[in-house]
Amino acid sequence: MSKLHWSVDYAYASPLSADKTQENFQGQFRQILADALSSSPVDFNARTKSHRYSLLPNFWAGFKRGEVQNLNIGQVSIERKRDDGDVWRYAIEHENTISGEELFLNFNCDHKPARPLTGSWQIRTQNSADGSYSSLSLTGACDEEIDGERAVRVTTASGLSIGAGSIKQDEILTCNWALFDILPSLRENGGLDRLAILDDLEILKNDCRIKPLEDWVFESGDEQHTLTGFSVYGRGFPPTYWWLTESGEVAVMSTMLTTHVLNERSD
Amino acid sequence: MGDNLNILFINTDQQTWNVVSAYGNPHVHTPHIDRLQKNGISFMNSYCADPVCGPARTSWVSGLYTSENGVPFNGGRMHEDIPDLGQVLTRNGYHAIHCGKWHVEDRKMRDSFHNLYTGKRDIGACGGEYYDRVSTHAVIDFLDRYDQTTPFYLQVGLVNPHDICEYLHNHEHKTIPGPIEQGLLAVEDLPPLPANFEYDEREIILQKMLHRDKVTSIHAPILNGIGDWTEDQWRFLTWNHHRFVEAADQQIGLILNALENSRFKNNTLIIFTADHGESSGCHRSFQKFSLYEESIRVPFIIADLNDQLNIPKNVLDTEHFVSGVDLVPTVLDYAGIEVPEGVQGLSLKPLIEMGCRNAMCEVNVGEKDESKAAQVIAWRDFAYVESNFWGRAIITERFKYIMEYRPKEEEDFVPPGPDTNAVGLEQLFDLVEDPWEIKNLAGESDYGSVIEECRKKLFSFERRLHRRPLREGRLRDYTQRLSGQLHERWAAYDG
Repeated sequence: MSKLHWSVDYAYASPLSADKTQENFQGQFRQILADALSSSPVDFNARTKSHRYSLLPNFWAGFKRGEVQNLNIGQVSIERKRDDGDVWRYAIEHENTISGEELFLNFNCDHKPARPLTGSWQIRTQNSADGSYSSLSLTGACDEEIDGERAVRVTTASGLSIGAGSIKQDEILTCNWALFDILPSLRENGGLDRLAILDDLEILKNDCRIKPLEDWVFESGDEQHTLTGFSVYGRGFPPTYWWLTESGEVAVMSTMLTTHVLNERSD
Repeated sequence: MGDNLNILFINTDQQTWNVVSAYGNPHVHTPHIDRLQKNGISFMNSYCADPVCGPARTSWVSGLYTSENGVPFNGGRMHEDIPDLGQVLTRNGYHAIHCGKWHVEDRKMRDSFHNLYTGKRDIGACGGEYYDRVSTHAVIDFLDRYDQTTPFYLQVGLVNPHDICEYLHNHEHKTIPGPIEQGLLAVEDLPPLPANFEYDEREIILQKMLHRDKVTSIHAPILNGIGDWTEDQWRFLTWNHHRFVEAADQQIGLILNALENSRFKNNTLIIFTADHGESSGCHRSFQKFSLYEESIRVPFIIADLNDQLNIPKNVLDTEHFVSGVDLVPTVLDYAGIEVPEGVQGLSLKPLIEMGCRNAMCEVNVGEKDESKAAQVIAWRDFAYVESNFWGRAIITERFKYIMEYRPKEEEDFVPPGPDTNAVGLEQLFDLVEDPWEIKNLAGESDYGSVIEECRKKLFSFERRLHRRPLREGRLRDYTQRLSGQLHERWAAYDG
C-alpha cells in the first residue's frame, strides 16, 4: 500500500498504539476516498453540483479520549446551483461533533473563476454542546465603498451590527467554501497571490494566497489516481492542503486538525 | 466602581508578550489586540505564575501560586477549600460566566460559573480550530441577548494560538518538508531566527532534563521528531505560530466589535492576557514549561471601549511587575468585592488609576506635571514564577535569576522551599545588557553578590507562601517519578 501524503496522514499516538490508530485512519480514509473516486465525476460545467465530505481528525492529541474505532468527527455538504443570472447560490451544512456546533451557510458568488461574493449572506448555527448558548443567526453584507475600502459586516437577528473587517475596493472577496470551486479553475493556471477569504462568512482573512503543490498518486487496489495539490494560507489562516482529482474536484482538504475527504458527489 | 460594571476577561493560550504588532513585532498582524493597547494600559512586565496551561489558569482563578493551590503540573488537583473567582463573584451578586477553555485542574467549572459554552466534550488542552469560532458565537449571542440587571463577569478562553502544539506534534511520526521545499514560501517570507537561537547551555538540571533530553523531555517525541530541523523549519514554526495568533486576534476582533455596538459598551472593563508564552525557537526550544522570558512573559492589557471607566489610553507601563495571580484581586477590586484572605496577588486598579492621572497630566499640560504624577504606590519590586515543581525565577528591574531546588531525599509532595530543600544550579541574566538571556552570568565572580541578593529576595518571598502538599492522585506518582529521575541526575552531577 502506498503511503498517504504527509498533509493528510493522521499519525499521532493515541490510547491505542500509533500503528493501530494509523491503521484505523488509513483504512477509513482510504475506503471513503476510494469509493468516492470510483463514482462518476461531476461535470465541471454542470449548473447544479453537490459534494459531501466526511470529517476525520488530521491531528488532535485529545481526540475522542480513546474512542478511536470510528474516526468520523462530522461532515460538510456543499451544494450550489448556478441561476440564469450567472450567480452561484451556495448552501453549506457543516457539522462538527467535537465542537458541537452545526453551521448552515447561504451565500451567492458571481460565476467567475475566483467566485467573488455578491449580495448578502446568511449564517445560522445550532449548538448541541452543554451550555446556555444554543443558536445564532446572522446576516452579512459588504457596505458601500468609502475611500477605496468596503467594510464587511454581520448583523444579528435583533440588529446588533458587528464589523468583520474591510477589504480594498479592488480586492476579491470570497468564502472559504467557494474554494472548492475556485481551485479547479486554477488547475491550468497555477496559483493566486491575493485573495480575501471570509471564513465561514464572518472572519475576514486578508492576504490569502493559493500556491500549487506537487502531485500525489493515490493508489486504491489496481487503480491509481493522480491528485493535484494546492495550499491555501493567509493572515490568520495557517496552511491548508487541497488535493484535486483529474476531473477537477476537490477530493481531500486538510487543515491543522481536520481532514475533509470526499464521500459523495452528484450533479 | 462596582455598580453595574461588567468585566470581560479575554485570554489567549500560548502567546508571548511580544507577539503583538502594537509592541513592534513586524511579522504578526494583530489589529484587535492593538486596539486594546490603544484603548488601555499595557503592563509590559507581566509574567504568568507558572508557564503551563493548567497551573497558569489555576493561578488565575485562585490568586495563588501553584505551590499553594495544588497544581504545579497539568493534571494537578486544586485544593478543595480554596475559593475561586467565580464562586466569590457569584456570592457577591455578579453573574459569573465562563466560555471556552477552562483547564483549571480538579475544579468543576459549572460549580463556580454559569456555563456559556465549553465544547461538546469539555475543551481539553487544544482544538482552537474547532472551538474558538463557537466561543465567539456564544459571546456574540450573550452580548446580544443578556437582559438582566445583574452585572456580569464573562471570561472567554480562546484556545489559539495553542494549536501550534498540534503543528509540533504533527512532526512526531512523520517527516514534513520545510516551507521552501513545499513551495509555500520564499525564505524572505519567514521571520528571522530569534537572537537567542544559540544559547548558553549552562542551564539548571531541571531544564536539561525536561527540555533537552531525548528520553526524559516533557515532549520527547517532538524533540526527536524535529532533531534534524533546518533553520528554515525553525523559522516556519514561528511563522505558523504567528498565523495562529492572528486567528485568535480575529476572534477577539469580532467580540470587541460586538461589544462596541452592544448596550454594554460604556460599562464594560476589558482584561486581556495569555496563560503563558511560546518559545518559537528561542533557546532552540518550543512550547513552554521553561523559565525564559519567551515562556513566562505575557501580554496584559486593561482597556475599555469608552472614556467612562478611568482607564488610561495608549499607555505602556514598563515599571510595574504584574503576575497571573493579580487577576483575582484586580477583578474583585473593580467589582467592589473584598478579596479573600490569603490571596497573593495585588489589584492593578490603583496602578491603572495612577496611570490615568499621569496620562491626563501629559495630555492636558503637555508635559508631565511631576507634583501630580509622583504618587508612588507600594508595589512588588520583582516578579516571581514557579515551574515544574522545583524551578523558580525572579525578575528584577535588571536581572533574571533562575534557580532549582534539589529534590528531597524522601518525596513528601510538599512543594520545595528554602527551608526544606537544597539549592541546585542557578542561572543569572542581565536583562538590560542581555534581554535575550544568551549569557548565563551565574558562574562569574563579579556577579556573586547579585546572585546572593536575588537568592535572598526569593527565599524571603517564598517563606511567606503557604505551600501545601499535593493531593492524592496520579500527580503524586508523576512527581515521584520526576523526583527519582532528578536524583539520578544529581548523583551523576555530584559524581
